[in-house]
Amino acid sequence: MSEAEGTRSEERRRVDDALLAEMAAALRSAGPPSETMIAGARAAFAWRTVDEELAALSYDSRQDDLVAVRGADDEAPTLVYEASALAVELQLLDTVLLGQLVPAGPGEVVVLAAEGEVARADTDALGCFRLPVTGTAPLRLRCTTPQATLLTDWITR
Amino acid sequence: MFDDAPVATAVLAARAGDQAAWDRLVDRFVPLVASVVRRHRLYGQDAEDVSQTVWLRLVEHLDAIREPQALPGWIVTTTRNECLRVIAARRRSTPFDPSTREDLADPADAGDPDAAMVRGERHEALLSALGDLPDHQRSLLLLLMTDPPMSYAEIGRTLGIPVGSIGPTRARALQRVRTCPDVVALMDHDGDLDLDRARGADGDRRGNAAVPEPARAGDAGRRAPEPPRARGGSDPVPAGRSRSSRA
Repeated sequence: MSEAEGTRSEERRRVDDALLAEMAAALRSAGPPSETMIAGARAAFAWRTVDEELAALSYDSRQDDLVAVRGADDEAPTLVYEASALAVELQLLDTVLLGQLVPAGPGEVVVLAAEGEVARADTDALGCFRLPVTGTAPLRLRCTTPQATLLTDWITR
Repeated sequence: MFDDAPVATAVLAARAGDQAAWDRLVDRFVPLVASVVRRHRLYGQDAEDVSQTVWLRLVEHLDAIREPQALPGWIVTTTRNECLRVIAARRRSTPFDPSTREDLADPADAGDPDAAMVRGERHEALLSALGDLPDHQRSLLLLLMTDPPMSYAEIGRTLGIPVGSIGPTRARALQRVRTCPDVVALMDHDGDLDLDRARGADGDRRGNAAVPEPARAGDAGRRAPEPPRARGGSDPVPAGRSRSSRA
């Protein structure tokens, strides 16, 4: 090996060592993922088989909070999810979800956590409902009326 | 073992309903999610809520992934958004005191959130690249990074590979990491891909022009503390933030 080649491989080894050390630092600072995180991540795949129409978030009052100066966010966040034939408006209170189906009318609303159903309620004649919620884990709603069904995207609070 | 596109393969299989393929994606990218969450100083229940939400969203995003290389970027962006949402929610429910604001800080970077940001992005780029490596390269690097370190003999036994193949595989894996677009884009912040320099250059990177250096082997330009050479008008990558443009 020539002297130049030796220097190059020496240099390469130094650069490789530094890269590996930086990557090890990245893993260390990420910390070991908890069992709960891994189990939850794997179990999330059960939602792969959902075949209802997913309702996209069309309005989120919290989006305004992210850019606005604090102070305008005393009210509970308001969200709107819309599918083709049905929409749902939601207000996220600390332990209660208040909502209304649009178009207004009777129906049923189910609250789903990652592991499955956690609450359900019938709406009144105007499509209004009130559901208890606990904790901060992501939730989604399945809303069913005689005409349509809607499944919201995951809601975080 | 010679699967050159492990993430693309896993995405396709998961899309077809393969739970084991999904689990492989989880294993590969859980550290990336954890890194972003940690950078936002979320722990315990908050951290678990964010992580859970990201994976639930990814299940529904699988069909929309056209370019599997973009998956790590999607994961970083989604995780960051969920972190910001949790932070905003906590602020809504607790009085806001700017003196205790610590959402983006790291104890090591007190007073220099910019350095924390750059370090965080560099870590995430490296974890993205690690998640994207073929299995045999990724397994090897993970064993090479254990603390305390394992000997090549132990690693060879663990992976069932000849000790003589460890050095070359390590070099190929690191070369692949180095040329990963995420890593290239971030190292360009420093005008140089030399990690030794980059580590100490967090604070003064602003004046440096981005000088992409894809062909770096044996390049005399890496003699360290010299400022990067500016190549007039030949920046194929805009300085900084390629990740945000991919969101």
